[in-house]
Amino acid sequence: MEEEPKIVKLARKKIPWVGHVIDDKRVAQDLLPPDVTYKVPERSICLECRGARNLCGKKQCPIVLKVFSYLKVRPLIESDVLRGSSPPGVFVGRIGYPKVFVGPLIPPEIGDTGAYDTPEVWFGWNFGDIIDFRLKMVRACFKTEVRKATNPDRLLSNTIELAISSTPVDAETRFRKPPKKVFLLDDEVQPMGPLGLVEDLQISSVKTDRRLEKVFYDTDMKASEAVLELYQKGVPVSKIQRAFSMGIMGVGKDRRLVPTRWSITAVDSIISNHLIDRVKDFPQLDEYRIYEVNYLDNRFLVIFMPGPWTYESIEVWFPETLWNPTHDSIFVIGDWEGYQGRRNYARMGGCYYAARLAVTEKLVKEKRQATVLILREAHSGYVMPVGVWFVRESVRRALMNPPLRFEDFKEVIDYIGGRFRFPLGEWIKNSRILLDALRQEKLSSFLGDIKTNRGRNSSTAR
Amino acid sequence: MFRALFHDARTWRYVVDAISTLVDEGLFKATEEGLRLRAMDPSHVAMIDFEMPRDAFDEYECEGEAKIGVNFDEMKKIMRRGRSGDSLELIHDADKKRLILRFRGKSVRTFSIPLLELEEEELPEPTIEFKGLAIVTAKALNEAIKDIAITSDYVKIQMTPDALILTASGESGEVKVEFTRESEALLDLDASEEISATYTLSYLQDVLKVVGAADTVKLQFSTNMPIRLDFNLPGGGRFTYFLAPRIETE
Repeated sequence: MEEEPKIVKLARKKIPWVGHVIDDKRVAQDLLPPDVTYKVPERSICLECRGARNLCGKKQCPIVLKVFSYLKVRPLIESDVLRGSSPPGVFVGRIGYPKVFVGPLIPPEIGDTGAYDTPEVWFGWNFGDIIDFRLKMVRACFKTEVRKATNPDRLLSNTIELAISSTPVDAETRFRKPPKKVFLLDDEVQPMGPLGLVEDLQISSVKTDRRLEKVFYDTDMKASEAVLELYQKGVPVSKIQRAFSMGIMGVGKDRRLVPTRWSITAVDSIISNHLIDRVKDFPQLDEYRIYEVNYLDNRFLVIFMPGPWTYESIEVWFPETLWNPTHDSIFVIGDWEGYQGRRNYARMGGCYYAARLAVTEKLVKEKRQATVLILREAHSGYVMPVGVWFVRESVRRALMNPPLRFEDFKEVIDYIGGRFRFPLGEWIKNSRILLDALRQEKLSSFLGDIKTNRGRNSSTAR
Repeated sequence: MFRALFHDARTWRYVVDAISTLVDEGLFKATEEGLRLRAMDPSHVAMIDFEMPRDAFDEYECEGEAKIGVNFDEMKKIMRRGRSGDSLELIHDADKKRLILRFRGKSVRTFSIPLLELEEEELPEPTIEFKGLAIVTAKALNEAIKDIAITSDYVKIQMTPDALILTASGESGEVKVEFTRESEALLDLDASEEISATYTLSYLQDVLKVVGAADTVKLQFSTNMPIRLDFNLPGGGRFTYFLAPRIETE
């Protein structure tokens, strides 16, 4: 007989303080590392296995998968010269901060590579597709100090120019030696290909995105205002993140290059905090809704409930899934914020903020306030990390689907129980929102009817 | 027209800190009797009733009634600039639609924030019959809640004729804090029967930001009923907090 899997609460990842580029206290708080312990996934079995014995139990070995894809492009990048069309895309490293690797992403092909760095269009593609085009892009990097954004040399200024292009940019680069076969694969950043040290970088003429150009030349505008302006003008989030990482916005003297992984969460956080302020002014939803999406062997349920703005995201990792190499434990991780927001960085990392952006976008579009709960179950087909865009775009897609509508909370609970392998009782135990909905009494039941006629947090409407 | 001078700016700092954990914005009402604010959190789980009578102020002028709607995030930032020894002057500038906050100490520092036009919330006067009452030092209660927080997100509060007991249990263990009649921190206890109720810890942690301004806390509750906390502020001020219970399952 199989033993019941034990349930382990897990925390992982953190990102350092980036206060120098963030002026909004709330955003800074979102990025503040909390005092938590980390459990690093066990990797040593991979050494014994080397992709041959399936020791880890995954359907496809992630290492083999990426090597496979690499083999296809290897002949093209073995020389020390590379010509190709950058989508455009850039990379800013974190290691060695404030002296970091930075440079364009260049695939060994000329043409319309625009989609290669636009996660907004990737939803629905499988691992093979994504890995194939991501890992063939070489990170053509050079080392620079992050403050150089205010006074770029020729290499950096070429990279900045490329980054704010509205169309792919033909680039030619000469490396000191052929690019190193190191890849970047993790939960925050979309996969990145080999790293080569650039000797020289030439780019063809660039068709600059006017909206990015405007914030580039406005050296009085704060970075957070620039992010919001770009967002309101309809610039895709990934493009804002790219520009943010190149330090093209913000008050002149304060501009910095920002490591790609920090810029992703910073932009998700800046925009969603702004949207939360707007959501709080809208009337509360008066029905329960459940949206669902399934992608890359993950199931997401996005649950909207009547109530003041409150947000919670919970992930469950079954045994032998990406971040859970154990055979007998289910990992659960979740984070929560009430009406007044959080005071530190979410333990679960950037996906908390990416999903928060997706749900606040939806609420603003509908001019409604709600209590929002996201439940995600990752299964064994989720073989490699593809970056935080995966969560943002999955939740966005879920919210485009027609929801199931419910009149009362009991039906919602029953539905959740039927949609997941993780037991309902455990979902409830790990969810602040579900627990509160079931257990927390309201003062109104003791004080009689409460009339609140302020604009905020009061009336309800469908 | 409203103007008042309070001898210790720090009292206001703690009060505003505590209020800002509950609501983004709120309405102070100034009358000839004093200054008052009542606010309920968006989830309708907790409520603050704050009152500073005119006698608590060193100087107090108010003609008629002034409604002073403020954003507590803004006000909090300013109040945190208050220094030990500063007194605080509050002026309602109706013409310019501003609240003026002035620290008088080693120098005179004047801040002003825009007034918000808020409608008054009609919050009913809570009339709950409480079966038990205890008075403890504010510091001791604060420490007890910190002890509980190590283990759990919820606290069970019990009262017997002889003791006030706070307990919690979570995945990482159990914790119990007892105030008996012998405890120095317990100043008064009056419970005719045994009572108990469970409350969400984060709400208590938030409101306890006010303890910097209070010496003692009066707790009153009944089994599975809301709890009422009264913090006594200097000069006869009152900071009352109501919190709804959680439903016990076992």
